[in-house]
Amino acid sequence: MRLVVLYTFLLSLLVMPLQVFADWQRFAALKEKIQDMTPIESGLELTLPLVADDGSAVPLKVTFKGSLAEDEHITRLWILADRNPNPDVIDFEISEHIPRIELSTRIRLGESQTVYALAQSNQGNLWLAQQEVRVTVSGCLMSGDDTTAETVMSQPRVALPRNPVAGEAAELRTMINHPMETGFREDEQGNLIAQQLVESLQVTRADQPVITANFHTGTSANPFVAFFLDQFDELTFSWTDQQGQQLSEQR
Amino acid sequence: MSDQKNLFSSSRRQLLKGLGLVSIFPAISACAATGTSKASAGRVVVIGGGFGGATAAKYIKRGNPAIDVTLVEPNKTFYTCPFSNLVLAGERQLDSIGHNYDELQQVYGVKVVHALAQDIDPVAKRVSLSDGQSLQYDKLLLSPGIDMRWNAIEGYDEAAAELAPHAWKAGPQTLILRQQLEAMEDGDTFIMSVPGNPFRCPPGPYERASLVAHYLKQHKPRSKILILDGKDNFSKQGLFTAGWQAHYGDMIEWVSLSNDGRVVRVDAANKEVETEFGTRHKAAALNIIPPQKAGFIADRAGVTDQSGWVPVNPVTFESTQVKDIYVVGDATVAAPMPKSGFAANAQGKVAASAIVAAFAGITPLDPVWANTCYSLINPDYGISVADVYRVQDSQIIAVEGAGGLSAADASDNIRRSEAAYAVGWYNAISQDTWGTKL
Ligand SMILES: Cc1cc2nc3c(=O)[nH]c(=O)nc-3n(C[C@H](O)[C@H](O)[C@H](O)COP(=O)(O)OP(=O)(O)OC[C@H]3O[C@@H](n4cnc5c(N)ncnc54)[C@H](O)[C@@H]3O)c2cc1C
Repeated sequence: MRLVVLYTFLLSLLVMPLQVFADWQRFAALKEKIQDMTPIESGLELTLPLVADDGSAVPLKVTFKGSLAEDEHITRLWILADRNPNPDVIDFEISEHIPRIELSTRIRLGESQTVYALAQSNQGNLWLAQQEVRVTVSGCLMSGDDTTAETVMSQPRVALPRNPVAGEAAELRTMINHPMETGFREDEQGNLIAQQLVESLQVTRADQPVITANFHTGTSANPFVAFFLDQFDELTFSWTDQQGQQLSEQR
Repeated sequence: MSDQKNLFSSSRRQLLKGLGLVSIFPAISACAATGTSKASAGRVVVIGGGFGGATAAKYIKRGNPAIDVTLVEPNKTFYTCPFSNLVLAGERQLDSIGHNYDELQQVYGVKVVHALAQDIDPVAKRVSLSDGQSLQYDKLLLSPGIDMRWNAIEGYDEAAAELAPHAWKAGPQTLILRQQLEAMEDGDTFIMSVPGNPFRCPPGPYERASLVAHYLKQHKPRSKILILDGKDNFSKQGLFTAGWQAHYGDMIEWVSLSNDGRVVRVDAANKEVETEFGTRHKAAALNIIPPQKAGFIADRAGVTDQSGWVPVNPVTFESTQVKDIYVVGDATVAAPMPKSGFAANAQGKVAASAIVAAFAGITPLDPVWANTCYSLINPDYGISVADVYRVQDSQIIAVEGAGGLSAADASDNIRRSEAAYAVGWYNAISQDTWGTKL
């Protein structure tokens, strides 16, 4: 038993630093954001299924549990997937009004790959998390984006916590119907279907920005975002698409 | 094009012969096992007498009768989930999908203990049972199937399942749901909540909706079926939707994840559910199929990963985490192979052959499997999807171009034949697994 432990330990010494170093350093989209900084590799947690039976809507949760200095808070968070045709999945602009960083969404993964989360604080510190996901289309299952869905936004939805109490952090959910055409897909005649995305969801409270989610080709159709708040009045949720159309909901 | 199609379907039929398992058994000389010497070639304990476990127990004995095999299963009769949807529809009696362990004991010499395995000590190689016994093993094989993730949906726990059954393990749960369907008035609503992937039997919920519709159409034609789904697409979706339209008009309504289909709260006493974005639905008969995980004994054995399922070496189905513990069936991460009885049976054979080979000091061959999932849209109208799998780079992959889906434009005759094949499949796999004839 002890031998095994020692062996694994030695092996991890050999393999780990190399791998962790190499992984994100080789990923240009991430390197661009990190540059010469050294991200902290604990404190940020990424939750994804190890095996996804359907790459078109993989549930993702990212949670921040790291320690922050006084007056330090997380302002930016990016999700990137290294083997999607475009690595940008979704990113967030986060205000101090967010009581706890625990964000959920659904993402697209074209194939098995590593998904990264990178968080940045107002003091410029970076946190990095990563997780490998194996994508298989399970037997008896078929994936399939709907080719007929209309490329206009509809059905904006917001669900507040059932019994919201001011001052107590609770989760709220948002979703809007839209096919999120990536621009990489062909129609039946083999022509590329033009890119059509919902660009963002902006949440404000009494006109103050609370959180903004910027959606990219790696965001699943019908963008879904859930996050925590502790004040639930005077909220506005606005979705904007690439044409500049906007839909809003007030709570 | 049409030539190609013909070629394709005939090769498919050949591949599927013999339950799709292409000879994986190492040639163990039969003499090794005969003779009067009762020396055991090794001790195997199998936990779970369902599709995976019963098959494995039998095939280990077939591979080498000198191996001592004990099967632990609490129930004296095993009711199959396959065809339990016909019981819900009133087309079959529960008895007709029950199987016992007589043949395993009498013909194959498997020792059967009717108890629940409660704990496993992988170092001492010991299993402790609910009846106080403990069993020593050299190799352990688990096929415990699924457990429900109670409370993953708010309000849905074991007690709630008595009022809003899952019926995702056949037996008493099937009968509760059947009673609720029988008690429905014409015009009432049947609601079924379906989880996100992965779960047992991907086409199962939609076959269930079909067969419940078949029952309601005859007896309560103004009733509705509402499927609240945690997914945006499902197995054989095109065939199901077309079949529903043709047979049941608009009786069945499917609400996808992105149309607020995911159920997040259940009030079982009032047969009411609430979805992600706060829509409430009330049912006369309520079927909640909750999210699932590997049977608890897999956790006790220390073979599950953070997903709650069991990663395995696909060549042998030995756990990647604990030596000498093999796991097959729904409990494993075997994607792209589905969580089906067909797959569990095939995996049971692969693990059995690996165990027989290990005791004999032989390297097992790489397995190749096929899987066919039949679904009934009504008792005389069947559809299917078939796939062939093999191992590549230590992972299971679906062989491209092999297998296939029933044609979208098939005639009623073909659908009728597929329904008959489904019955043939059921009888054959039951015979292969438990040896009990209907
Ligand atoms: C409605 C429905 C329809 C289906 N239709 C089909 C179909 O048409 N075709 C198909 O291929 N598949 C079908 N399936 C799927 C099929 O039922 C499962 O994939 C199959 O049962 C998996 O086999 P298993 O051995 O993993 O688990 P199971 O067959 O569930 O067997 C597990 C056994 O282990 C026992 N057990 C669990 N824990 C312990 C313990 N601690 N100690 C002792 N014993 C234990 C249980 O009592 C049980 O008997 C269907 C499923 C459902 C729900």
